[in-house]
Amino acid sequence: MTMTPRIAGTLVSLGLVALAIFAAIMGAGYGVIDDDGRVAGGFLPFATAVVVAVTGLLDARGRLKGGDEEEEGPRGPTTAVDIFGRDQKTRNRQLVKVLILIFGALLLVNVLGFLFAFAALIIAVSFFVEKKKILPTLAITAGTILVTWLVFDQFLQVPLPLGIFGG
Amino acid sequence: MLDNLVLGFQTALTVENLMWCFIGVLLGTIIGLLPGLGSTTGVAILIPLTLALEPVTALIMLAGIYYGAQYGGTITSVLISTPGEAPSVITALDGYQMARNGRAGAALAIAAIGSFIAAIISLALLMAFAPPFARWALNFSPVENFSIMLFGLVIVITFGGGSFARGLMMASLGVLISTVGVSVGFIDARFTFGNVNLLSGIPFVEVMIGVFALGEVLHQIRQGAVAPIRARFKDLMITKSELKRSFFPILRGSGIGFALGTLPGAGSTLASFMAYGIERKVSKNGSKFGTGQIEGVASPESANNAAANANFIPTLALGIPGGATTAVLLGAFTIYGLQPGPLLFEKQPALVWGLLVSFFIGNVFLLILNLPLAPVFAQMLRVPYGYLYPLILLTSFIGAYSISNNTFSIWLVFVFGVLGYLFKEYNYPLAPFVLGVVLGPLFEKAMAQTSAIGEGSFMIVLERPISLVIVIMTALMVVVPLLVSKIRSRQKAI
Repeated sequence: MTMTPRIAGTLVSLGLVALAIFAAIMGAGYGVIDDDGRVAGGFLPFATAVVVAVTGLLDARGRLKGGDEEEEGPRGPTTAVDIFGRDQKTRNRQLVKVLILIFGALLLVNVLGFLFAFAALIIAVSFFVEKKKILPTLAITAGTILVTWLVFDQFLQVPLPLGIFGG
Repeated sequence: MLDNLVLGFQTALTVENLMWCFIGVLLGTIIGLLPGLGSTTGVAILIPLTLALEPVTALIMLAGIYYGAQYGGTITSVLISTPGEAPSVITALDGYQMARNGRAGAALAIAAIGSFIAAIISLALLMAFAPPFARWALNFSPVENFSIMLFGLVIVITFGGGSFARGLMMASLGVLISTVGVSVGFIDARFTFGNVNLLSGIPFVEVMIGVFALGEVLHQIRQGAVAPIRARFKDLMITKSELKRSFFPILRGSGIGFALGTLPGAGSTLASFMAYGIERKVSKNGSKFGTGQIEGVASPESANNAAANANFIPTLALGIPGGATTAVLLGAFTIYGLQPGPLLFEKQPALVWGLLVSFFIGNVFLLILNLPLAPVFAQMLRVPYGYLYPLILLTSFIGAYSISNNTFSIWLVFVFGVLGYLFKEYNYPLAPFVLGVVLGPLFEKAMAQTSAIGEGSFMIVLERPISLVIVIMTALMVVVPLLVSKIRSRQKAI
């Protein structure tokens, strides 16, 4: 079953409402007004969280009612086939794969080091998700990683995580 | 003022600053035309690279990226009807139609010429108005600052796109996120859940990189690629009649852009949309707008550039950003240890005037680059996105990491990237969110001070004349659009 953009948008708004209610409760716990009647540390978190919760509910209601059709759905040619012949379903699958690969690369940063983890990410995305040829992919990855190492490690002296290669 | 100008030229015309200005506008143009990048993303990603530079040089380069991206955004608007920047959205209406009619080059050329003229006009106005404005703002107490920040937030909520409720939600969410950690004036750490990385708050650069860079990449993957229209060098020639037709639209666009750009929170998007709307009303060819009319490109492009420059008035003089990119630039100021606001003009005249003069130099570079090289830049649209976005991912994550040298930053980018994707996908306006995140700490400080001055009561904002005027303007900003939309819907019903 596929979720319509209207329902998905409503769920995002409701998710923000839930987050805001949690933040409002915590914000109230920090103290909203102090003994002198002045605002305390919890005032702004509480006030903004309440506003997010109320406007989020209004937004969710508006989306469910389909108030402004033009605003509801995702932008752009969501059902069309793009210049590479990929339809919306394929692109959705690509999106999920890329998200999983990024998550994996971030987990690998402390294991393989920053540059190797991201080299693996670039190769995986270009070759497996985007179906690019392996040789140009490897060449672009090697070039990019080399430039990144020169700029960040050598020029800016950023201490990049080295993982198991750190000794 | 002449002394200040001389000081500005002395600062901006050093070999190093000229070189970084050129690099900034060139990178900005490229960033503006590449899908998945924009001026806000570009500035956010490249801040770490500027840490090794002098603050004035770094700001000259970052500002160059900002207005360079406006030019680049136009190229994608015209050639693939996919604006690289929000202010270029309206340009796509007539610009893309011109391209389909074989006038892509003329559309790009008039955008470059219009933007250049607008930049020069707005710079002259900026130099004339910013210093007295800053002197006037020196009288502002925390009460006025609180009112003006509220005003800025309300403007961006009203005109940031989407409904008022959605804008208010996003601005509040931004402020809420900014309250994480220990705040100035309060002892308790908030929303840290025992994580020491959160004690100093959620850093805005990571939020911006996540929302704009990663969020946009994910959004583009879902959108799919569009074939660009080829722009040839010989098509760049504008006819005499096209130039004549564009003259007044450029002037009108510049005026509208400057006026709206000076408002805190208004940004270039509002300016370009309003300039297009007004031009459609006053132009002889107004009824044909949307079919490829050059006035429909000249006016919003001029407005967009004028507003980009005028945005620096509230940013430099008040410390309140004009739009999303100036909000990120404002954050960059603080990274370099500078505090934008009225005192900046007195304390750092070389920096302020060097920066302002660099806009002029940068726009000259851009005209030289864009008039003959627009077709060359357009070739970059042919770089397969499948190769491009993994590189954007690497740049984004390493940029975020290098600010704090902490892997926590890259997880923040991931979380805000997913959030940014959802926001873009389901049309939550991003400008109010960004302004909320950036203004949040300043807003909270001003609010706490106002509460202390008023001994717990906020009625003090109505007791001071300047603050009262700002509060009335803020109220009007909320009430008038609501009334107008009610009247319109009633008229529709009749």
